[in-house]
Amino acid sequence: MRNKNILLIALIVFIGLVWLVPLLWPISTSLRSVAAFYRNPNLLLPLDGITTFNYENTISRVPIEIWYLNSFIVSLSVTVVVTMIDFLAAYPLARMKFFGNKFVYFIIIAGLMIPFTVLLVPLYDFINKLGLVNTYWGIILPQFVSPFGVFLLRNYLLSIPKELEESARIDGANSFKIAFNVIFPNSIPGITTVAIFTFLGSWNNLLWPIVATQNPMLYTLTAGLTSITSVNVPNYVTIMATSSIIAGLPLYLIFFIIQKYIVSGLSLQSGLK
Amino acid sequence: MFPVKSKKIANLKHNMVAWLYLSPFIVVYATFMVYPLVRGIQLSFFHKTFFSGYNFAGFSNYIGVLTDPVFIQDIFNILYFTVATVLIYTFLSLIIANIFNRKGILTYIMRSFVIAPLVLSVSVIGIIWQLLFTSGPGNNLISFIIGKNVQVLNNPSFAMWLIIMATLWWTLGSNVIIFLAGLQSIPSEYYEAAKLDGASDVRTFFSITLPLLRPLIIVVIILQTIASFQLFGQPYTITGGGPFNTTATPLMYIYGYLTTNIGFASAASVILFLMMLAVSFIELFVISRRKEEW
Repeated sequence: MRNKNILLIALIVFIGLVWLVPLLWPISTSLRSVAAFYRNPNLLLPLDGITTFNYENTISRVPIEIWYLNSFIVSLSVTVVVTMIDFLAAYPLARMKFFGNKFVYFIIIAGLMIPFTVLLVPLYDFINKLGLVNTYWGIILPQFVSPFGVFLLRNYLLSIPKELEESARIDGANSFKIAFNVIFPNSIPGITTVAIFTFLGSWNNLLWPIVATQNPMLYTLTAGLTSITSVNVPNYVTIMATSSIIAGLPLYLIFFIIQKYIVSGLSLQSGLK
Repeated sequence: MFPVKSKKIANLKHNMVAWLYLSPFIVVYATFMVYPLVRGIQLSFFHKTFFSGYNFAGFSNYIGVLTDPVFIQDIFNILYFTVATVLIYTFLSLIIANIFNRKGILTYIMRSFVIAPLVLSVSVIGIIWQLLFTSGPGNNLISFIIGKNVQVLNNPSFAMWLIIMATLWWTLGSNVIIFLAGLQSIPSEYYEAAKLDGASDVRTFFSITLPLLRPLIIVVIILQTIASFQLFGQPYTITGGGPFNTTATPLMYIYGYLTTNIGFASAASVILFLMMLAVSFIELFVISRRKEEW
């Protein structure tokens, strides 16, 4: 029994480390000098000295801070609007009896099954006709629709006890006050989950930003990274490794703080809770 | 008479308030989901060139797409990728979830390493895995494992496996999370009873764990299929569709025709969508039919 436990723990550590290794190499490469890298490109740890040269070089050659800013502009506006719209829609679906409730819920479930693939071409045609290609609006607007957020929030709101609402109603609160003073504060964990998923989805979206804009100065971080080529930067390998770390490491670290929301969101998606 | 009428008015007001809350969502849903869906199907029957407007084209876009050997190869590529990922990822995540299904800080940290790549963008994934196999230790490692020298990115029989491996590293965590949540929802009494009956671990897994996880396995397979069919970012950033078009996908094909021939691109996306629906339904059908055997 004891031996079996040790074996299991060894296996757990092995799997965890296998997942960590692909990340060690770009981190190590970004911290080593270009000469040291070409002497031995395979080091997983920067054992032969650390330099910040690659970071200075990358920031001066690649407009990564502009892409970061664009990503924040796009993802924050999308997150704020989606969370608001989806909460407003989830509230009557979960807490009110009204004509068409089941029908609207069905439409939202149907929306979950429509892949972005089938919307890509007509959406491009649409924003092209509106003259929104190469604008922030063109990148942002089509991301406002999120049936998944409504689905998730509706399920969350259903779990809030009815008594909370009733005591507020007896005190004379109208439905608007109940929604924002009673239900909203009690659904913060659900709203946080939706906000995190929306933010990550928008931040990591590659296809839509490269379709909606051809202007590299409007690119989000995710889109911008794919536009760097060996033609426009010297020391391509070290600059790319460094760019991927500048772009990826902050999110990777933030993951350890927001892990529980990611876990609960994915469990909800699978219909488990 | 009077109280009934006021109740009716109150009811009407109540309905209107509910629809008022829903209205912002309905507006964006109609504008950015329903309208494009209908418009996309309409566009697929039209031919649009830069100079002329939209001309009705019948099924010619569909015929054009379906007779294009490049598109056919893209379809084969995506089917290969989908079958491989559905089988490997479902199996592997089931095993990993079982291994990680225990308490303790060490397990928690190691599990976090497996899940964490989920939050990275596909560009970051693409850069890391491309560099690992152009300038890093990737090729040496694979050559060492299989015992002969390979340049994975230039090798038509290996390139898709690099995409499969990178995607595994990136997304396996989401399946693991779903299965872990499923495992933790199985009452421990079941396992205690099995232990009393002297069932082995393997037997317990096949007789208790697997049947109880069946609904989740279906969910994971369907989600995995839908995600796999929309493969774009990984080949776009790692291989660019090469070598010899062996990692190109239908979505890359659609992207390629987007600005030059919008009707053609629409027809290709409708075909891809119908294929996704068909494969998901077949999977659902096959898995639910096998119910008795489990």
